[in-house]
Amino acid sequence: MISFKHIYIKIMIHAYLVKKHLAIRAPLPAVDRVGTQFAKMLLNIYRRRNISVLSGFLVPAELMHVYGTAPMFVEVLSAVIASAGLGQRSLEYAETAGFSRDSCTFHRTALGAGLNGFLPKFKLVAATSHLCDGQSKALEELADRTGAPYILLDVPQESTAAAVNYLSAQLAELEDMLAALTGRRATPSHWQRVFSLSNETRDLMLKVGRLRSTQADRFFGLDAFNLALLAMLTMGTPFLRDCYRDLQHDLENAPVNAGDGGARFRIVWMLAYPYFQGNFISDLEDRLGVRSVAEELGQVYWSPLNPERPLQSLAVKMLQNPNLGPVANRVRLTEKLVEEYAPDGVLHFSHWGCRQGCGGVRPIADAMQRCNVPFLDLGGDCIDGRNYASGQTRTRIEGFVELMAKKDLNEHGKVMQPNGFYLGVDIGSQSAKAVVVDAAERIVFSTVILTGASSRRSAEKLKEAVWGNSAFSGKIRRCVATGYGRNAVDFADEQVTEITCHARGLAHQASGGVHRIIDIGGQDTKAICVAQNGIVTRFVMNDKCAAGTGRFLEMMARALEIDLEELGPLALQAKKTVTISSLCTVFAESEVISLIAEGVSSAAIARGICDSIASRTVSLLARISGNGAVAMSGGVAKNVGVVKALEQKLGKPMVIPPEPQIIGALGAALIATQKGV
Amino acid sequence: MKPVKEIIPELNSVQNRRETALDRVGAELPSFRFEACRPDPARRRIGWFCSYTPEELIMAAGFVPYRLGADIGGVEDHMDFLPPNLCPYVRKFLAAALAGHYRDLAGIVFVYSCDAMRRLADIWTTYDAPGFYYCLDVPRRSDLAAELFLMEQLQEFKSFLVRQAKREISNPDIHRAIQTVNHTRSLMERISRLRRHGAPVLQGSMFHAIARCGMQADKARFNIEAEHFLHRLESLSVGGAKRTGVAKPRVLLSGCVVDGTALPEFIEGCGCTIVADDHCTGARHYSGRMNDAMDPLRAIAWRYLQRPACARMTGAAARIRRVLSLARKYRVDGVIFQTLKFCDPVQADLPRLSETLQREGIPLLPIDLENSDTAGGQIKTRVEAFVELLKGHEPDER
Repeated sequence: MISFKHIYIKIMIHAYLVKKHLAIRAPLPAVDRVGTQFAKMLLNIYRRRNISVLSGFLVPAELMHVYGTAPMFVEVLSAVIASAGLGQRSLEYAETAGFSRDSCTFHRTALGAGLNGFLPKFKLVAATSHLCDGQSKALEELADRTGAPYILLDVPQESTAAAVNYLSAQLAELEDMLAALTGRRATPSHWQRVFSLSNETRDLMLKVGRLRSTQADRFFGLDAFNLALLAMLTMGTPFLRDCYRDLQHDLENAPVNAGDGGARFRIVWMLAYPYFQGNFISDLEDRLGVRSVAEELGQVYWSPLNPERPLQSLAVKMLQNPNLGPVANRVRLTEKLVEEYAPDGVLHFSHWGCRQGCGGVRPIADAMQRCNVPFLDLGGDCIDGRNYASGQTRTRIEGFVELMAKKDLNEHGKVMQPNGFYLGVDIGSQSAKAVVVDAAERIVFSTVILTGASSRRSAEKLKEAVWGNSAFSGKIRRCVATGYGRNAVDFADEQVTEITCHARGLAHQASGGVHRIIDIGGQDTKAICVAQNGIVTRFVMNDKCAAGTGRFLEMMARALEIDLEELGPLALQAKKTVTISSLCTVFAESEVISLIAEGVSSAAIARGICDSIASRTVSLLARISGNGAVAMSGGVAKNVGVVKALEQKLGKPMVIPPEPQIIGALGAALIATQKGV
Repeated sequence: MKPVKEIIPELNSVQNRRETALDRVGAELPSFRFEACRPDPARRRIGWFCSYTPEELIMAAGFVPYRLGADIGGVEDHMDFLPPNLCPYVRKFLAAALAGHYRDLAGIVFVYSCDAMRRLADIWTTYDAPGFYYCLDVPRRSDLAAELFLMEQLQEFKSFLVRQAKREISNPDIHRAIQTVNHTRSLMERISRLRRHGAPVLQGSMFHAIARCGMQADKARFNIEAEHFLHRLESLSVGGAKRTGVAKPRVLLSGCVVDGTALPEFIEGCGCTIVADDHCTGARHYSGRMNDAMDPLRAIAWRYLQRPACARMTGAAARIRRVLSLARKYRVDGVIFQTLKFCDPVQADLPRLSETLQREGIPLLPIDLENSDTAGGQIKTRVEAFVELLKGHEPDER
């Protein structure tokens, strides 16, 4: 039967190949071959005479190439679907079929495409149990529903003799299936050929890895990640060997730091890259100049393969994967990469559905703190762009850049104009703030207005208020903007994230010195660890949802039918508290409504709400270690109920500046006093 | 020495809840004396989570295997060692453990069972490990190679236990433990069957409390009490003395781990009876006996790999066959499939289970819980509506 969906896909792939071919007439440089090779391999799985095998990305490709099959990884398929802008459609298809929205999109996307009839009928489906529970479940489901034979390679967590025997026996079963499908049995010379290519490529990968540490402008980030992914799929083929050989040649013969010269920060990238359309990679790589010089995925962790004992050798390779076993293996790998590449920072892209990756973040973050390397745990989804919060992501990566730049934001004596004034503007999600300081860092003016629907309009309003003030009109020397709407402040000389600004502002306001800062704003919560003089050493932000933020308080106050200002004093009146257990703001609201219906007093509910915010905040604070003085900024610091609940949980009083709302704007104004920040 | 009540707080709460469970059934039903099953306080306990933990070996080493619950109250502040998008049961357990519960355990056995358990083991071993710990790898396949691999793992675990217990573990020791646990299993199967009879001789929540007790008790004492209980209850149900009352809709509870007895009580409180279950902490834990004529480690490996499997061990097809056969055997009116948020293996089975049950004409209610031991008002409405649906939309049967 002819499938029109298959024809559509094939036409799309051909169109891509033709476009690539026309664009580059000369022989393709190594990096550009990656996309074309993925496209060719995709076409191969649609050719009926091919033995197409769909597998998880850690099924050893050498075995597939020894048998001349057309292999494809489920994760690669999902990434391609997302890059082509078809991710959402496939995900929605899978979700309509009942698959959980919380599962990993690297599996759910391909599953959705398969259920929707866009994938060919594979001759064999193979999964591994290495890294997660999700892959094998999704692949088994896809195999069952399309009537394809299925095999699970159950990979033990630790590499022992028993584990090698167990896994070799399973690889033998997979080999039997491939032999039956292809009608032939691999001879020693087949193994010899594929393994020697694999080993040769392995050596080249190590060399390219070493060269990359000095060539952050030529080969980095997503290109490197894609090649690493392709390498797993084509390991043991002449294509890959040639690709790495040419890449090595390119890198060796380029002058040091050739390329576009845009690299400002060299980082190590942990876990996966985002593929959904409209993601932040070009912002990160081009605008901010953050270039990944090494990726967790692309590391050579295995010993050379031995063609005399092919299956045992492949089993050992699989068992050497550092993502197996305890997280200590990943921590060691990260430390090794930090040692070898001496990066400016480490970024962990915590793909939402990845239990393995996200579950290991804390030990890695702590290890990086011990190594004194800036670390960013960036939450998001590689495939699904539907929940992408561009503002939050930008704040985080800019905060990370500020951390890497290690700016000394408290150096005095750099004031440009002794008689000038300096403006800080903080456009938050709920309110917009402006603070003017003089050259002696004294606050001479501050104002708070509601942000409303447009950040730009509120920025204009603040400008009018400042410029209209005759005391310093015309004497504003510099302006720094911060907050979510910082990019909407056209008149600012510079944008700095609220993370850096809050730290700077509080250092100014708290005389005794502050070690940790809680900032609860309208739409997010931050915990910031600061060294002396307000320099940020580590920060975390709540992600995933609005629970525990100012917005949460506002919604709860609405459910209680009281004004936001009344909530705190009301909570203080409560003799007992209730538990608000829902993590989600929407469900918490319905929980509050049920409590009202049960006749629980408003005071007790108000206290429950404050306790719930306090719990969430304290757990965020626990992610940045330390036990020094805690200060609080942001509008929620004005809520006495939340402050009391927090102090109770912390077991000590917090430092609260007189006007917590303007701390971000104050920090921005203080940063404006410094030259060339 | 701590009083037993402090060591096993759960048994107290179960004891307190027992009355409420029985109140709904009727008056003079025999009670299960949970307190009679408590282990001698002097004996050292080893905590475990996964139903694939070989309790027999722990017992053979002279320890009391103790299933760890998370429903004993932790401190949310400790939850950030693990990310929010991870199993709520595991996160809650960690919070409870970090808050100081379970400090009196001799040690903990983790099974590298699911992603969340592996990450829990990471945090436990990196940051906080009172007592000893062991990570056991259990294969996901059930063929001969898997059995041999599991035997090797069991051998290593046994050596570890020998070091911890500072005594040898002989084959007769293991044999005795196998016999005791086999006996527990057959008693639990008999108790479970009592739920089949229709009239609520034994409430599902009560069965659940007994099942849980069996995972935390001194098994020899539990067996004696279970025999007494069965004797008293079977004579009742044979006589039909208690076949009174309104027939409530018969429900099969399947899905994720059920932590504590709150969830079955909650579900039955919505007006139905759980007559069968298929999850880690219910009857499935007790199914499948060991062949005590085999080499003991082989017998253990064989039983764990051949018994009805959980969603981590097998694909949707096998899981659905199991749910269907239970649904038919226990003549259930509907199935409640309970999933914990972020439990990938169990959630992955739901789409096909739901298609199959629809084809078979068996109503299904999936519920997705954020908390491993509580359910909010929204879930209550759903369960109550489901019970109304099972009753055939009759406004009031009474």
